[in-house]
Amino acid sequence: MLTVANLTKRFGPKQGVEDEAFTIQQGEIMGLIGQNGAGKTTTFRMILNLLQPDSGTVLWQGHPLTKADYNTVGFLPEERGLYTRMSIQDQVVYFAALRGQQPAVTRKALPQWMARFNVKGKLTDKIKDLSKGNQQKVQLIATLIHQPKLIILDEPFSGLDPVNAQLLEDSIIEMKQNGASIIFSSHDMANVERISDHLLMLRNGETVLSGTPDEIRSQFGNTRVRLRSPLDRAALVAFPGVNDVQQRGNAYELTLDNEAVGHDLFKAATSQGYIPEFSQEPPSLDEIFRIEVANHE
Amino acid sequence: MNKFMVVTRQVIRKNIKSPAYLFSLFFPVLIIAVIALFAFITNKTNQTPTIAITSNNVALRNALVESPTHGDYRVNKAISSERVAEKRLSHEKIDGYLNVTTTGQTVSAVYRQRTNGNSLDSDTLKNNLNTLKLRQAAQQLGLTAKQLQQLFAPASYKTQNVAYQNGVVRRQKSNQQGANLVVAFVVTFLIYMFIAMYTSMIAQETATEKGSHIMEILVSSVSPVTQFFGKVTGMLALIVLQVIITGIAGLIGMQYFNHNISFLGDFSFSQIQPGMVSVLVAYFVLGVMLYTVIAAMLGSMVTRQEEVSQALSPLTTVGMLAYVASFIAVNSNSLLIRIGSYVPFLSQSLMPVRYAVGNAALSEVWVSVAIAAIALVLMTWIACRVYQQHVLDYSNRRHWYQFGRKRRA
Repeated sequence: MLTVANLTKRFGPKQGVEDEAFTIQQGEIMGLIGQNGAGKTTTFRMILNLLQPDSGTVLWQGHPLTKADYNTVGFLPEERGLYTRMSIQDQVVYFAALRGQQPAVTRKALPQWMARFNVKGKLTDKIKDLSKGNQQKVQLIATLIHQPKLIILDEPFSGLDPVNAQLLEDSIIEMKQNGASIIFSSHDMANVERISDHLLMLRNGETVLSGTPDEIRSQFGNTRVRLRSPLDRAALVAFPGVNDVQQRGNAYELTLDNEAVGHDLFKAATSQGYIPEFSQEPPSLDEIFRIEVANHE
Repeated sequence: MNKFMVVTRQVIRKNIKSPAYLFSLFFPVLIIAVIALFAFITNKTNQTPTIAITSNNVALRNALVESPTHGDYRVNKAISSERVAEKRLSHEKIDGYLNVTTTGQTVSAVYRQRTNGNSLDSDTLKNNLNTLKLRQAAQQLGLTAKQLQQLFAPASYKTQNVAYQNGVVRRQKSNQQGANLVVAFVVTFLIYMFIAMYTSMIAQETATEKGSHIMEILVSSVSPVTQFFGKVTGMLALIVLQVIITGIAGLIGMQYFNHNISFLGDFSFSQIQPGMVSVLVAYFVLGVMLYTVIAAMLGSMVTRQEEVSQALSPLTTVGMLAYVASFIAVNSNSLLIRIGSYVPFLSQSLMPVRYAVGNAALSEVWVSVAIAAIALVLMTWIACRVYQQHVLDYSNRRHWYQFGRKRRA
C-alpha cells in the first residue's frame, strides 16, 4: 500500500505540489490527471525519493521508501531513455538486473514479453534501429519485466496507437490482478476512465478532484443527453431547460440545466413511440477536465 | 549479484562491445603488426646478393671465398675469371663481382655491381679482405698470432653517467639513465593518452545517461553513490586491461625489433632502475583515476551531452600542460618543476621524468605518490557528492556557486 500524506513541494516561488494526499491499495490503479506542469511528474519523483518534499510523507507498506524497496519498483519516466547502441536483450537484462532480477530469469521471460507487446524486432537488434513505438514498448517491458509491486508510469500511453494502447492496458490490468499498486498519469481520459480505480486531478499542484471515476462524474450530475429521435434541432433548442445543442452525425448532444429536464425530454422524444437512442449521463472526464481547467482560470 | 557489480559489469561490457574502444585497445598491437609486416616485406624484397670473387692471387681468392659471409652475401664459387664474371653479370646471373689485384705488398680490390641488382652491405667483405691482408703481412714480418692480437687490440673506452644527490654521487649503470628516460617518456605519454581517452569516456557516458533521462531509472534502482563507484571501478578495470595489453604489445615489440631499430639496440629492461616500475604503475593508476573521477563529476553536472567537451576542457588542458612540462623537466630542475612534481594532477607527468633523470630520490617520489593518493580519496569523495546532487538536476544554474551553497548549508 502506498500512502501519500500532506505532500508539499515548492520550487522557489513556483508551486510544485500543494498538500497532496492519496492512498493506493495493493491491486489498485490510480490515474493522475492534470495539465502540463500540474505537478504529476513532481509527485512521481517525490514518491521515488528522487526529490525531497518540503513537507509531508510518502509511505510504502508503512515505511518510507528505501534502497531495500528499489527492487519492487517499476518506473517509466516521462522522457524515455534507453541506451541506443545496446541490443534489446542487453538493455532489458541490465535494467532488470538493476532491480535485482537475475539475467537468466530476464532472458527466459523476455521473448514472452516481446510477443505480448508485439515488438517488431529480434532480441539482438539495437535500440537505435527500432521505431519509436517499438522503443517505447521495450521501455515498458524493462519497467515491468521484474514483476514490480509499486508501478509508476509517467504518460505510458503517449505515442502508442490504439492497438498498442490496448495491449498496455491489458498488461496494467494484469499487474493489478497480481497485487501491484499502480499509479500512472495520462492525457487520454478514455484510458484513465477505463482502468483507474481511483482518480486524482491536479491543477497547479493543487488537488481539484479525487475519487473513483464514477464518483467524480456523478458530482457533475446527469446533465448530458445523447439523443436520436424525431425532434429536430429547432425543437431541441426551444425545449425548456436545454442549454446547448450540438449535432453529431444524426444524433444530438445536449447539455441540460439539471437532471430533471431529462424526464420531460424523454417524454417529448418518445411521444410517437420507439426512438433508437436516448442516453443521459454525467459529463465525460474529458469535459470535466476542461470544465475544471476553465473554472480555475 | 549486487548492484555495484551490475553497474561495474555494465560499464565494462558496454565499452568492450564498442568498436571504437576495441580499436583503441588493440591499437598498439596493430602498430606492431604493421611494423612487423613492413620489416617482413623489406626483408623479402631485399635479398642477399650473389657475387663472384676473382683475383690474380689464387690463394688469396680461395681464402676470401671461404671466409664467413655472415649472411651478407653469397659467393658463386664456380666463377673464377674476370671475363666469366663480367659475362655472368651482363646476363644478370650475379649481382656483382669483386676483383682483387695484388701487386707486391699492395692489395687493391674493385667491386663491380649492377645498379638493378641486390645491393651489397660491403662491411663483411671488406673486413674479410683486410683480415686476409693482415695475416699475409704478419706472415711476411714473421709475427706470431699473439703478437698480431696485441698489435691490434683496441684501447678501452667507456662512458659513465653520474647524478649528484645532496653532493653525494648516485651510482648508475652506464646506460641506466637512458633506459629510465625512455620508459618514463613512454609511460608519461601513455598516461596522457589514457587521461584524454578515459575522461572523455566516463564523462560522455554520464552525460548521455543524464541527457537521455536513463538516469531517472538508474537512480530509482541504485543509489547514486553505488552507481558512481560502480562506474569508476568499471573504468579502472578497463584501464588495467588496456595497460596490460599495451604493456604486452610493448614487450613483444621491443623483443622483436631489438635488432632492427638502432634506438632500441642497446636498450634492455635490466637497465631500468629498481623501483622505476612500481613508481610508474603507481602514477599510472593514481594519475588516470584522479582525472577519471573528476570527469565523472563534470559529466554529471552538464545538462546535455553536447556540453561535455566544453565542461571537460579545463581538465584536459591541465593534463596536457603537465605532459608538456614533462619535456621541460628532463633538462630543468627549477623550483616550478620541483613543486609541480608534488601537485596532484601534475605529478603523474613530472615526477617519473624527474626520477628517471636522477633529479628526485625514491623517497621524494613516494611522498608525491602519497599526496596523489590522498588527493584521489578526497576528490572521489567530492566527486561522489557532486554526482549525487546533480545527476537529476536539469536546470542551468551555476553549479559551482550552487555547490558552494549546498556545502555551507
